[in-house]
Amino acid sequence: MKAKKALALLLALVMMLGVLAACASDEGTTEPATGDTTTTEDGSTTDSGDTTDSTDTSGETTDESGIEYNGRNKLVMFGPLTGDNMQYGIKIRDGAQLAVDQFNAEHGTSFTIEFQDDKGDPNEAVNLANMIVSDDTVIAALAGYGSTCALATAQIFDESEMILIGVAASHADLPSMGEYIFPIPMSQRLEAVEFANATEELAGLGSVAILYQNTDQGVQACQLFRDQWESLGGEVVVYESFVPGETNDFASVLSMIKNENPDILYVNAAYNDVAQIFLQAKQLELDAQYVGPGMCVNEEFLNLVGTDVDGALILSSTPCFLPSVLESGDVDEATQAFIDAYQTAFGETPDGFSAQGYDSVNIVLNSVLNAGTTDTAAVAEQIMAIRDYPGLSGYDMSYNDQKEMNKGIYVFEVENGTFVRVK
Amino acid sequence: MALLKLENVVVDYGSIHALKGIDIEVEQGEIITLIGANGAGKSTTMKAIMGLTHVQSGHILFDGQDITNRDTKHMVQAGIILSPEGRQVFPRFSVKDNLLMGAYLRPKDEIAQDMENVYNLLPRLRERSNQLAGSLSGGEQQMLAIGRAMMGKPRMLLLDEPSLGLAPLIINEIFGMVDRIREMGTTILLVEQNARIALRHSDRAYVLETGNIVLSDKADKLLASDEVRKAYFGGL
Amino acid sequence: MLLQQIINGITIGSTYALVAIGFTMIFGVLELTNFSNSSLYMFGAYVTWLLYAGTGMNFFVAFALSIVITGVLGWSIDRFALRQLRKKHAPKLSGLITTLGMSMVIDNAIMVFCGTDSKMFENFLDFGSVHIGSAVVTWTQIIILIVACVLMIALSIIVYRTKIGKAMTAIAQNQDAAKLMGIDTNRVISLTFIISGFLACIAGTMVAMYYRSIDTAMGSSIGTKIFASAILGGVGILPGAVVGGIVLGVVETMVSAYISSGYRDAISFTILILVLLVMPNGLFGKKAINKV
Repeated sequence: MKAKKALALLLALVMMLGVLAACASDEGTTEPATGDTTTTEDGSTTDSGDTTDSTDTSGETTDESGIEYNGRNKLVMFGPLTGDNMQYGIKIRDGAQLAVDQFNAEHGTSFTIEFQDDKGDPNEAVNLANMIVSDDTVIAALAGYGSTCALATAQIFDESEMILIGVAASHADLPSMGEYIFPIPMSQRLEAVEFANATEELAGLGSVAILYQNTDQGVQACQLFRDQWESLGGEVVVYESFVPGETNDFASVLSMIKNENPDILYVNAAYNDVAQIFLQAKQLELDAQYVGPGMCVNEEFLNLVGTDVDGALILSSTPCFLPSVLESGDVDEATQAFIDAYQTAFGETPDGFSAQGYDSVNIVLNSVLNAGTTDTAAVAEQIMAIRDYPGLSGYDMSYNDQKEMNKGIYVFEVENGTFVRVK
Repeated sequence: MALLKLENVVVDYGSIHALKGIDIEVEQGEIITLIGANGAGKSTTMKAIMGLTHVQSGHILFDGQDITNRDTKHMVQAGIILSPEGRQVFPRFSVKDNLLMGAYLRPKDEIAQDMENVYNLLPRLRERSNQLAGSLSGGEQQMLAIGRAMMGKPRMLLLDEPSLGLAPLIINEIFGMVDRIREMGTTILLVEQNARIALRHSDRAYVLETGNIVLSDKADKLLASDEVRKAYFGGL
Repeated sequence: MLLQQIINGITIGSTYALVAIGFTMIFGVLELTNFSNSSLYMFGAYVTWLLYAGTGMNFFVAFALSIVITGVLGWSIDRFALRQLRKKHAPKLSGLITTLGMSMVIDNAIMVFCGTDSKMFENFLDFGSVHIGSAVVTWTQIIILIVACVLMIALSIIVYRTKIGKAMTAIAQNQDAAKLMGIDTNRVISLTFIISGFLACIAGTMVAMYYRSIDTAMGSSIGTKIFASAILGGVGILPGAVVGGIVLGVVETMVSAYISSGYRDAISFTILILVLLVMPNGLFGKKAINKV
């Protein structure tokens, strides 16, 4: 009947007005109005399961940091949490988690981080990337381990204009794949060049035999090393690759190298392969200066080689976190604090990967803090402006105009079962 | 008491009823033949006795002992040995090694004498003792298969289609051997498609038709029977 | 350099040979491609490691125990899986897939239990090196070659001279006929698997000592090599596995040294295929005489 319809319409109108009125009264607040924040001011560490959770994600900020969240407070990291490289993925994850917890505790913010398993498979990573870019609460994505998955997903993030941080991706091509793509490790191009320089400095400009793993990373790195070595005036007498994981037996290629009598044996591979190569080279009595990559800076490498490869040099763009080295040497306060916090939270010592995970989160979050907003362009601008950042994964960290990361080089000598820093 | 007795033995291959409940008796010292067309169930009977095929129901008794569905090894130990259809010699072994295989369960000190006996029974094998079994002619392989079975000193020898694919002259030779084996004291149960020659050398016979025993009588009676003639001697 | 390369090749080839023997025995007896063999190789190495490094027991005791345990594992794969398939007259493919599945289970169990990183394995056979001209041979390498030869001879004696070995060969030719001889085929097959397990463990542990490390990829990386070695020598033929293994090792090494280290496996397998095109039954294989 007409009267009933009119009444219903009136009621609906009244309800709508009521809702509008309520909404109107919320507009414009930027100060925390609700009392459900759980910030702690004493900066105590949280253990891995905890995240401080104090936002209402409906849109506006509710914490003391003054950041305009725009509904975004989440970082998502994808990496190998299972499979062949899971040991690296886990270390990176833990470092990142610690950084988020500490940052929130220190700044009263309410960021969270989510971890996805890409199993080290670029196809899986692409699937995850597609999910991540459609999630409106994400500020930035972090590609956990290696260059392969980062390269595979770069286009997706670029097209969606989302920041992608390559936590452990050193491939030289990565920065140029998108406006908002930033690597944390030192650019391989710059690193390879600095490695060549460091090798010359410590071992002289002799003839070098290069043996490397046939992966994106290996191929790039050694090409660049060779170019630099030759431009310095040195000679490359052997340039051989191998497929990692296929065999442990390097005797044949090493015998061939021995035959060429190089002054320097430069190897770029995973630490277990480098260990095998050095051990077998020693067994064959290959006399040369052995030089290995930063991936060897870990306890397992030392266990594998024992005292049989003393004198070998290891070049790294990340510092060494081994207890044996830390005990003897100069550890700055920040590093010591990081180690202690990590040990408390996860019961293990961190390594270079943990530090990279840690730095990548801090670089993003600090940039958000500095920009005062989670807006992609603004945050990216802040990241670009980073100069001489005192990270835990390197010293004097700076981005150049091509978004490549530049930092200082560490050189360690293997001596008596441990690493001794020589540069 | 019969040496071998099959009581209502049923064998199914999936949904195919190969043996539908057959009764067979073999007395010590007899030569009994099982004749029938292809697919009648003759070989299945042999396999059932030897435990190579599962018996669904019914019993097989050897010397009073129930041997239904036991391991083949058990039958051999009890004294029943099969010379299988198609000979099935070990092609890469020499004649001698094939014979030695037949003596697998025999005590070591008796083997030499047993082999001597087999060579006496089958002189052609002695000539070829080092030859690879796979290179023997069909008739020679059949002799080898029988010789191999005899190496196990069976109380009862099962012979599955000994004449298959062989020339008439050889077939005669082989059946001559069958007689000699009976003379040596071994009971024989024989399965044959060549009904005529089998019946001529047997005491009694059973006629098997699609899994059922349809006739059972003295061999000479069956030889004379018109029915049997028409059904089983045609074309031979 | 040539001599050094030959020595390198023979060493790596002997390690292939050791595992290929067990593989070829099973193929010979059952016409089964046992994919789990390479997993047992890795399993053996890891168990030895877990025992001596984890509990601190004497290495040789650990080794002996590990050999037994691996043998038991090999036996149980047959007893609880493959034998049931045989009983039901399942097609050969089922057995093959079963061993593939077992292989994955064992590999992943090790990964989960021990982690995927390489573990250091002490070399208890480190007695120094010997110089032959400009080539360097370590005592470990010499011992590996000796062990491979001794085992090959021992197994050949078992297979070709003993009664149970003859039974294995009989089963390989005709399983049903073998049963008719009164051979307990299941028991003989079990023995084959146990021996195969022993060999895999010995090979795995020796390789672990030679490279001073074990990792969870060692099983799969040697898998195709064993397969290739056995086929090259003639599947089912014992000396074939040894010769095939050593030939493959030498070819691989030569290719790696004189042609390219990166394409080593690709080229080696191409050579294998070419050999098989000319001699399809392998170096020692004869055309199967199956006229019965």
